[in-house]
Amino acid sequence: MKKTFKPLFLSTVMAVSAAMGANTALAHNSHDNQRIVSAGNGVTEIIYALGAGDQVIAVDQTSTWPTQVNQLPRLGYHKQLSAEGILALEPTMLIGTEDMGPPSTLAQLESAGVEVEALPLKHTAESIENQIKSLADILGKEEQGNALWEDIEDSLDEAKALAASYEEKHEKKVPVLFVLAMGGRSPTIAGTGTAANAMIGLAGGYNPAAEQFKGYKALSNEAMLLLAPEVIIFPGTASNPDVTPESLLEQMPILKQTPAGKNGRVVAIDGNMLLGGLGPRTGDVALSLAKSFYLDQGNPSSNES
Amino acid sequence: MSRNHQGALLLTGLAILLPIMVIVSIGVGAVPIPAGDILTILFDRLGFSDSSISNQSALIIESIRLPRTLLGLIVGGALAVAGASMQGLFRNPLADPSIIGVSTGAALGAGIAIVLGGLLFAGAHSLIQSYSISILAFAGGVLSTWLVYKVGTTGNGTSVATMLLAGVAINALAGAGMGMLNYVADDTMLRNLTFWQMGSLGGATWDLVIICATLLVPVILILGRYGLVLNALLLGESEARHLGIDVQKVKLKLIFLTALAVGVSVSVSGVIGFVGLVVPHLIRLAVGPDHRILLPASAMLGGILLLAADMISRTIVAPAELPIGIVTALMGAPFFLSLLWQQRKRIA
Repeated sequence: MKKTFKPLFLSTVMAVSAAMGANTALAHNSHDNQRIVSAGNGVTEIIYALGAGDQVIAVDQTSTWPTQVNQLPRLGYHKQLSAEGILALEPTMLIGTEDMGPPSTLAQLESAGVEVEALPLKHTAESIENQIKSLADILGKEEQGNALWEDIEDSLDEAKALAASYEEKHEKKVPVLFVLAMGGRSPTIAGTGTAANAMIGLAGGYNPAAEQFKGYKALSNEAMLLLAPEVIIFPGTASNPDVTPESLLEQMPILKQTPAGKNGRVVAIDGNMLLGGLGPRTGDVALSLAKSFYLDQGNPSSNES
Repeated sequence: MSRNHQGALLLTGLAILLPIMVIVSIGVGAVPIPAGDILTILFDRLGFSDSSISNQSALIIESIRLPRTLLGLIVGGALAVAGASMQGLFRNPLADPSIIGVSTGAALGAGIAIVLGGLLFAGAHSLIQSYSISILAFAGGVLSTWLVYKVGTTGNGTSVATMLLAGVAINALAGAGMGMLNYVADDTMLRNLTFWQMGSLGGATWDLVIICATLLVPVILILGRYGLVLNALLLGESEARHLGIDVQKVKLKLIFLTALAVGVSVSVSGVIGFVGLVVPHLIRLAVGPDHRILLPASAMLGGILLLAADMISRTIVAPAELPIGIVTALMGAPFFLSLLWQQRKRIA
């Protein structure tokens, strides 16, 4: 931004700063003085986990954790960002994934002097590591970044170990399905290429649906029985407090006929966590899922499928 | 001749309102920019003064609001004048551009680009990739219009009744195609499809404005000259023929121009409903069905209303944006209903 001392311009800046309740200090290159707009659930979570949450001034629709972000202005959907809406917040930086757009908005923001960082996004542990490392680098939080990733890696390793010891004994992994209750009576299942599938894998489970289709598909009752999941996970807790394991089985009675339903092994996870890609909570969630797969095994007699 | 008077009055009023609306639209947005700065920036670009306004304000005016305002003006005008032409040609008050299949065909084309674009345009030039949605939307719109026209046309000429039915069938077919695409699409594609079907002027760049202006401004001007011909058609096709009008040629031209206008509009801004249907009716309720007034007045009012809708769309939920199709339907439908309510005795 070019500095001028025209009274008209100054008064604008002052009015804007007052409206924003923030100082528009023009410290572009200092790590501590960034005004960050974050477009992506995973990215937002990492920024907060790195301790840079106080620099975030707005987030997209998918960012719902940590709960402080619910106080911030919302950018809408991360693929439909509005250039002027974002510029009105006077950010110095827009951080998101390669999914964000449209490209015309990103180009306009860049030419207005906003630094635009689009991080690669894949549903793998390496992608989380890369995102954490790049964000730590951008924000000058290398130490915190390394510590954060080590924590996640430890949890993931622990989950892996649980799965490995089970596999040694039973010569198979536990088949797990991720079920969405889409309002209808037939369950919608996560196939390959979804964040839910990645989460099952990181927790040491095996998603039998991944071999059959990509993305989310509604399954017929018969196909559901053939897949014979021993554990069912579904988006519940914070994201859908109304959906409990009982209400899920009630809504889709076919689930009761699967080994998971018979043994009551139906586990809720925070669905918001999967929406914007994996993030810093992935390690904890993967570990707690792994424990529910491998330590709490319901009634062992009906575990043979 | 009070109707003629009213018409002239209306046209003058709209012609005054239009530039005011353009300036308001440039002045309104999430970033507050004082009116003085806006004028300075605009004059500066015309080479009149040397301004010291911040680069940021200049950039917002120049590369965000100005192209967006111009695009809204052109698209709104094109949609409304195309709607007026279709209502005149089909002699049906319910006709809007979607009746010849152009909107749903374009939507299907865009849907194919969004869902299967990765496969179809894998090896293509990056420029083609970035405009693939627009290109396929335009192709889909023109193709479905051509189909509807072919079905409706025999050796004896084009039957508008057959075209209406063919349009219904094509719309159903395109709807089924969209359903298929929805089924195979992943989450991201689904969101894109939904957003595209609700329309937005947010993608406005100078490139798009220039393309649209070169294609649509001539179309709007040419369609505006069909007033007398459409007036004659109101009497019926054979009557128009007796008045010396080559009805078949007129039909072909009007359908082609409408398909072009709507195809281009939809391909740059997504589906923006209601403008093509409501705007001509508003004019008709005000000054009657004389197409010499109706066509130019529709073009201007369409532009004005779309600018108003866009201002709401980009400010009401800032920093996010409400899709403009929601705004046009939300504003247009109740307003239209209230007009119908007041005037239902006169219409019936």
